[in-house]
Amino acid sequence: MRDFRNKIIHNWQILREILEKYRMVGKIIGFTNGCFDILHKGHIYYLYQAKEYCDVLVVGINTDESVRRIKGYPKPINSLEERMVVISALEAVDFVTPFEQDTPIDLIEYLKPDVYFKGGDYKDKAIPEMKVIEKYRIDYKVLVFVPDSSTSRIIERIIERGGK
Amino acid sequence: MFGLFSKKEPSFAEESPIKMTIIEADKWIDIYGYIEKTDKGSIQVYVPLLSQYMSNNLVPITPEKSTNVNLLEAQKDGTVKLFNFDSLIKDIILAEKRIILEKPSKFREKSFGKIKDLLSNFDLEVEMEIEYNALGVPHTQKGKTHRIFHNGISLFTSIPIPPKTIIEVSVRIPHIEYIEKKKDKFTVSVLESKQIEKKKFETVLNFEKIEESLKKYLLEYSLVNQKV
Repeated sequence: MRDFRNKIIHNWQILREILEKYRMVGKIIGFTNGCFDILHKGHIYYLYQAKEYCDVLVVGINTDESVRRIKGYPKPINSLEERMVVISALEAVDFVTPFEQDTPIDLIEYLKPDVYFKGGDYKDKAIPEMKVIEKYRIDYKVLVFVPDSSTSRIIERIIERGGK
Repeated sequence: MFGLFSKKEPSFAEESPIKMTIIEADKWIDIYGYIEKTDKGSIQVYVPLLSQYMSNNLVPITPEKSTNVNLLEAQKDGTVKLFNFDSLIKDIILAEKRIILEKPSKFREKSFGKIKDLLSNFDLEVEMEIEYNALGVPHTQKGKTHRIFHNGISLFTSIPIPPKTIIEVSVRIPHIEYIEKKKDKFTVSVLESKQIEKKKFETVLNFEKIEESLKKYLLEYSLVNQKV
């Protein structure tokens, strides 16, 4: 079984070199991103679906600062390190890397994956990454959204039950 | 993204250069050699630097390991083709510097032009370890090429090197057993150093003196390192 620790690559340049090697031997590189704060069923379905379309799945994870900017306090519940470890332990995930920007545009532009995945809740919505996806002719796939699965919903349930 | 699946399989001609890549998680190793012989189910590859590869600390090389292979073959019409396939290491005979590969059934291929034409006109992005020093300067530096082309090489340097500086370069062509002493060296002169980013320059070097055989090996190495 692959050690989750060698899936976490903080340095984008090192990650790009690794991916280039996989590309050289004909592997398809897939990329997705998110906060992945409290892991739930929707995340699992989503990442496993993505892996079906590529050979190497890379997950970009928002840093704590960027989650706070996008989602507001008290998120994230789990720190970046905790979130990266949890996601990297999934068999469907090959590499995990953090990004501090509000959008993954810079990371996509740097890694130039073959396929970019987005969750079904973004279907028909304009996404800021589209420009860079089109520029580099990256395949764009919207994956099936699992209803009633969200980190916010889990937090609400915990609060409703008074933490018991 | 890929070359087309090939209907015609390679002939696995003797002495065809081959590169076997083993990737494990975030580590990989490229193993170079040439084909010695083939039979119905296997390919025998001679690997001049096998003991060095075996002692690497990155990826263990063992039988049953999957490997992705690039095979460069000269065609009857004078052109050259690069085949790519997935294979399995069946056996390793360290004392004889041999790796036995399983013969694959599926191939991808990419055609290049005629070798004769390529030798006078090619420009490929390829990393190759080199050692170099400016003539008259005893200190030898290690580096990697960024491009190899018919008339020279380029490499990344942290400082610009003045044009016309003469540099002696030595290489170890990994898929070749042995190159006669002094024929593994060539001299180049600096054409220009272009700034790529802060403290990173692409220094373009034109051949001043190079053996034709070495130039051919550099072309082979460059081609076997291309993506199919």
